[in-house]
Amino acid sequence: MTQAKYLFNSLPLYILFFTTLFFVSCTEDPEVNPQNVSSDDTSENTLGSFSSGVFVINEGNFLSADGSISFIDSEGVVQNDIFSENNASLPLGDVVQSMYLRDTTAFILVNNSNKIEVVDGDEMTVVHTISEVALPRYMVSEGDYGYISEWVSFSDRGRISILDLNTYEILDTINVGFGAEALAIRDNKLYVSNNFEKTLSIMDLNTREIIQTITVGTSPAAMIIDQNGDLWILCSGGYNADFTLANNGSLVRIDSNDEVIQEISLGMNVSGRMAANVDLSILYFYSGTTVYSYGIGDQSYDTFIENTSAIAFYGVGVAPNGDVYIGDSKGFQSIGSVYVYDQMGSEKEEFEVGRGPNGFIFTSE
Amino acid sequence: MKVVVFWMTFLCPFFLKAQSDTVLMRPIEIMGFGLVPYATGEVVRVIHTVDPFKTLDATLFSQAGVYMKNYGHQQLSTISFRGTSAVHTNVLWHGIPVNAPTLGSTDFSQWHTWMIDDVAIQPGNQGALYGSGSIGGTVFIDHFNKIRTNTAAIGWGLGSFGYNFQGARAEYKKDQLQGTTHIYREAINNDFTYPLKGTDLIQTQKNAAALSYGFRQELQHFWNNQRLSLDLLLFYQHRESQPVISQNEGQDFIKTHNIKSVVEHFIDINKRSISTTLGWMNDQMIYNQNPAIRSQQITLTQRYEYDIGDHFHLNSGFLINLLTAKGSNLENINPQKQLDFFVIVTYRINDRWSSTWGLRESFMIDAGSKLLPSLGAERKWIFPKSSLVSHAKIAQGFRYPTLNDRFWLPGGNPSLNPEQSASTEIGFELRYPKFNTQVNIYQTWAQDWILWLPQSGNIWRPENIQKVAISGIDYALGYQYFFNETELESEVVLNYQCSINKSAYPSQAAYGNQLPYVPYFTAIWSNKIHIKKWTIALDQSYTSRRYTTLDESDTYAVAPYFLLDMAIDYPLILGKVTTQTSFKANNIFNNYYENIQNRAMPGINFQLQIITKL
Repeated sequence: MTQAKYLFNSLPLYILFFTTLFFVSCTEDPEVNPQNVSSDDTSENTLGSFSSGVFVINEGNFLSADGSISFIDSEGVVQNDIFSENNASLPLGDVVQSMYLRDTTAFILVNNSNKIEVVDGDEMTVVHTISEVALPRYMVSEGDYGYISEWVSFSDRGRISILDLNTYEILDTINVGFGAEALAIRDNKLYVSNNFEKTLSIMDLNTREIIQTITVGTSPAAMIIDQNGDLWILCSGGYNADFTLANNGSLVRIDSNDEVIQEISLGMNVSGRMAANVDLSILYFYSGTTVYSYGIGDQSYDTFIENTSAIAFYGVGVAPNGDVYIGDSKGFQSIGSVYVYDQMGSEKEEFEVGRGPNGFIFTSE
Repeated sequence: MKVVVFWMTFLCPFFLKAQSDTVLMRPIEIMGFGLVPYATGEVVRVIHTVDPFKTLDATLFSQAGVYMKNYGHQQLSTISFRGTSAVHTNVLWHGIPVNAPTLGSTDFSQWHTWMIDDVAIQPGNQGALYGSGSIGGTVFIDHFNKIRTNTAAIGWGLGSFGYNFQGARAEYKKDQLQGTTHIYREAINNDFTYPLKGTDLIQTQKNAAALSYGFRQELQHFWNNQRLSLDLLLFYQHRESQPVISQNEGQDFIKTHNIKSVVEHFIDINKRSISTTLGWMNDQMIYNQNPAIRSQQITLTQRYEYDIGDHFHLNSGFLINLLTAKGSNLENINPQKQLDFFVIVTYRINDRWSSTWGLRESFMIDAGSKLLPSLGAERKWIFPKSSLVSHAKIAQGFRYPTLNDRFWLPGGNPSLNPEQSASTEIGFELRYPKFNTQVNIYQTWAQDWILWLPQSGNIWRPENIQKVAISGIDYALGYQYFFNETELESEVVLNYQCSINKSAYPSQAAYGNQLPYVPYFTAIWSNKIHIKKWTIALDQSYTSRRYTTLDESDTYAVAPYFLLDMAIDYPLILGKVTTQTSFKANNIFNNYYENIQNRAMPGINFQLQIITKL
């Protein structure tokens, strides 16, 4: 999301613009951490009532503090607002950006509330609140440390905060590029997409220093490491000087030597969110209400599904069985929907969840 | 318990009335056409500005039950008139439309009653001669009809959460010159505490301080049958933006500068008059460290009024409006030109029957045009001790898209059409010498309402998509009761409104549901007891549940709330100097409530107000 876009969405509630937006929320945030569907999240767990199904992260309406978490169990039963339900109606916060699950502990990153709620993944009860973060976006972990990307602000460089997973203390912060966004770990290196730039920062996890900055496409966002160990970055694309769409979204491939070895022009602007199937051979991303798929090694992408009755896709995830989950924000005019498609693109189910579903975390016993 | 108190006090006046027939007056004041010359209809309701320490949003709600959306205490406040949104209320200052050209709406918290002489409202879409947006109604602020005297007043206020107010105003008149000067400063730390939902925590509100300055200078010169009038308003506000309850560390702020000026020439020639008005508005808004958004408006209006014989009154004229704005997302906008013509004819058939025909035509370059007929009729029955007035209206309304709708980068849609509406209304007003009650029933059909919709590529774009059907009932009752040296003044306002989405957007499930932030029901119950020089006021209000989503999700609904406020006034008169001292206790039940979802409002709070008049 560009600064201008964010400003556009920030202003309404403060300057009456909401009168035309009619409580439109924060718009499409171009990211979902592919780590949400990483092996951490689909591995066996002891999550009690949430042990088999999918957590749905509902961003909520911008500046309304109505973000929430839903859970759809393996029988298709939906429990909405499970965070507030299990915490005496405590509102989760404003713009629930993402959730990271580590064993039985969930970290819920609440972007515009500048906090991370650490919850017991079994009971969804708050264990700790981390408030020393500024516009947190995503989180990954390695060993005893968590790594959190933060925008900080629109005029400051983004940063990575290093979290002690035992004490929940922030140990250090390292500046990266503007709009620090999605995260991925490979070969003891942390990759950070800088969404307000065209760059990717690489941090050595031993020295905690930025060792390289790579130029990629415009508005780099979600990242996935494929079955070959290559890193794929989804770049949303930008705007022309007159704010018309530049239609220059791209998929950028970076090999294990941290060199760009392939760039696939998408010919359109896309959301910054992306997911991969279980064997990491197919990438899914979307624009508007169309989902595209890209098979690793192909020269181009395909249309996976197009849903003309949807309003605006806002998140994507792939279940362990290969089903593709799509969140529809419904323009933030109402509660969101989740559509489930099989691997062939046939719609299987639809669920009503919270407001602005933007991501999924799958659990399995 | 609180509801019981509310209804007990609601029923109490009926009991009192049953005990006595000494009810004397009607505090609900209706004034006629001539006092608000920019209105088309007959029925306009006066909003008293007797409490000069209130902002206009609080005044409108407390007297008319008009729902105001407050984004926190002493924060931005917009109107929702008869089930519409803020852009659907036309706001006229000296007859000049003053809704912000960029946003199409008014922040009523910027209008402080210390700076205002008169306020009136007219519900419905036939309420203005010209302008855009009066689908819900029209708010009239001031017009050059005051006869000034040589008086002065100094106001001082102190209250909870670091509230302080200083103001001075003076009126003067000499020979053919008169004028008034107003100045004020209001500040509040707004560090109130509230129970954080879902916890045992008592949280202190942060980042909600507000500072406002205002200056007004009005001058009028009279000669022969003419009058030249000038009014200048300067507002400055620096407000921290009160964050939602789970984001108490917010640091956002907004600064606004507003200049509003108007010059009017009025000439009265034997049953006819011509008034020519030139207005200039300049608004600047800075949000955080972002570049300022500036807008400018130049307006020229002329009205010609003529009494044709004893039965006809003609009011005709035109409006020319030039609007422009500039900001990082509003580049290269050519001035938008609006031209309106209007003819309103009132035909008074006899003492009992009258009717009003109106025809407006509005043109906005590149934004379409609208021809708007309206028709109203009124019938009076005069009885020995009472009168009954009934009226019926039917009219069309419209709203042009705002500059943001059309030109915001990215996403603005220059090809938007004006929103359209048609409405009808019937009302009755029963007046006894000592008692007054009125009821209005209305229905509005609107289409092409503009919503911003998500597009591909992270773009949102406004489109004419929504249909809405609005219906409701306004009920008001006023009475006065005397007992020895005690006088009870009471007023009840009940508003019931259904504002129903008639579009299958964003899904079929949203069809037929109430629009977000439109309460079905608001109720106001105001009582004043005068005992010798003392006045005790007891004001209660109830606002029903408001949905925030089109599917009427209970999860995201904002809970109803009840408020009880109390005030005690005492005037100390020393020679020619009167010092009015007021002590107020607001939200006496210390209720936690939200006007907007997850934005805390303060519990019980106090104010001391002193006004010294010379």
